[in-house]
Amino acid sequence: MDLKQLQKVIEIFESSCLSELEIEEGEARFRLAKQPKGLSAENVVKSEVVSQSKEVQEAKPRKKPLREKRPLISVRSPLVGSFYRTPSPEEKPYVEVGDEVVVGQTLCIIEAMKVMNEITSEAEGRIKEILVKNGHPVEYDQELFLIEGR
Amino acid sequence: MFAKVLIANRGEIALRIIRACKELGIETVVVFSKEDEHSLPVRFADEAICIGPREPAESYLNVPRIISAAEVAGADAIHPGYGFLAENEQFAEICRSSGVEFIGPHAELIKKLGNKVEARNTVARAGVPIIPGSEKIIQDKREAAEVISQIGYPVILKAALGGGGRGMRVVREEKDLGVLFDLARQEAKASFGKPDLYVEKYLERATHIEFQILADESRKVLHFGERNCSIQRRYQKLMEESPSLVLDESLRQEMGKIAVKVTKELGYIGAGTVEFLLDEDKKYYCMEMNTRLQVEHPVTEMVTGKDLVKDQIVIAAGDNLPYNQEDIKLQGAAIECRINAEDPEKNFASCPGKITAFHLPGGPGIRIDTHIYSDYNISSAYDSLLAKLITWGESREEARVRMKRALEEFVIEGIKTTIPFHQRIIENEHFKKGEFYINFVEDELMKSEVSD
Repeated sequence: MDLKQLQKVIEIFESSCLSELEIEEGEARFRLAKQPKGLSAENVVKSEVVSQSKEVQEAKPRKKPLREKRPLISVRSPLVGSFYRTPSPEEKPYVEVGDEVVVGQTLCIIEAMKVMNEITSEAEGRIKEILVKNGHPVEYDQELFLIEGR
Repeated sequence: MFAKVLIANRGEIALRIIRACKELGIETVVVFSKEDEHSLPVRFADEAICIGPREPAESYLNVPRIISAAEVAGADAIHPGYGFLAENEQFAEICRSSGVEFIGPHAELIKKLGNKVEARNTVARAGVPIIPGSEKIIQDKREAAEVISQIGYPVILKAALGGGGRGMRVVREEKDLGVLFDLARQEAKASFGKPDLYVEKYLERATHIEFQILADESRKVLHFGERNCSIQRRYQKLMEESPSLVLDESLRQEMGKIAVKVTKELGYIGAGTVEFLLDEDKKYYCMEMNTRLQVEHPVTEMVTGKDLVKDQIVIAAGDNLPYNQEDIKLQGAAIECRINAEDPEKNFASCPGKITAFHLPGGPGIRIDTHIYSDYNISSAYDSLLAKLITWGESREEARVRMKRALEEFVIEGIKTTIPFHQRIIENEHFKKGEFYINFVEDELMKSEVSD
């Protein structure tokens, strides 16, 4: 295998979902390996910045291999009030479990003193869980959503 | 009667109000900051709602958050306790306009009595003696000097919107007036938003006597005897007792009637306190009326056997007091010590931290209102009151000796407290005889400290 061929293999490996690759050709032996995704320095920093609930993550033992674990981000209520998933009673919820959300996207409304406060996502990812029922009261700092980050 | 009361406060007073509500069969909901997650009020209330982070401005002083919590919880009344929003007329107004009863006087009365100059004039118009001083706000030093030329030094400069000892300066000589006037103005502006001052004659060896009042909507106004709150440091009360050894029965009756008269004149409804200064010749001057439940209310409860907090709630719900003036009798004597997380050896610097060991005194005649427990963390975000230790005795001497005994039994480790300081006062020869006045702590105790 010449240098050009090796470069090509590396390119293919990088764009693949493989984490390791070994090639033997006569005397020559090549081993390529990627760092698990969840552990890349960039990702760790990001999840710390975005997530306000490191405790939640740390509290759960990591049983699965790290590369399959995505950072779990909790969205917490900034105020006390009533939690609403829809802009008005007739309309569809802002988000459902499984929806992909982006930063700044409205997730719900919290009504406090007749004022509707839109709560937006501070993270990008997939809605994993909605922790409060529509119309229920929420207190300050209560967890509302769990978002699986990327 | 109310079905559910929201308590917009923390610490021992939140607990005190929960107790009153429980005995009245009212459901309770407390609001709390993140800092107070593990507090006893949160644990003992039927419901608890976190409303914000530790900063009071974002939690216990945040009106929208508290009102929102009341709406979410479906509370029909809010008890503000003391401090925080207890004397905030906007809060009282917003409560009522949100359909929630404010357990306290009407907003207009809080406003009227919050302006000390206006309050002075109202009281004077009712024919009640007030301390000689200015009839209006003093704009500058020249005006101050003019008023002082009539009443003479020493004088005290006070903030018109003041309270809690801030914005107050004693001026003994004319040469100090300029500097102290500016200082008091700055302090008043910083503490109360307005630099307005007024001036009063300063009574050197006066006694602080206050009368507890309850007034219901039928305009029945009752007084519950007096409290002597002269053991103070920097205008902060440290110890209170009832009755006062300074008053004889006829003076008590006379001042009690005056307190009732002032209350009626103002059209006041609820629990309140009319404060007097009594000079060395036992001449009394009405100072002001406090529009809240006071920290020291338990000493009155101990000698009258009445539950002032329950009655305050009953009145707020529109019901009448179920007893009359002749049913209120002062029995025995009670003393209260405010145990603070402060280091008396370091100029009463507040001393937050974790309580590592804790033991409460017990036995006959002891009452303790406290929210602390072993492993409790005293936050630096809130005031330093740890516990109110109250003793009752058939005589004042029995109450005093009991206090001495109780202070010895009281164990709080891990932080500094004012217990050693109270032990010194309780053993002081002048205190034993009831010979003390508002500067007593500074004049006698601090002085003897230097000569020790």
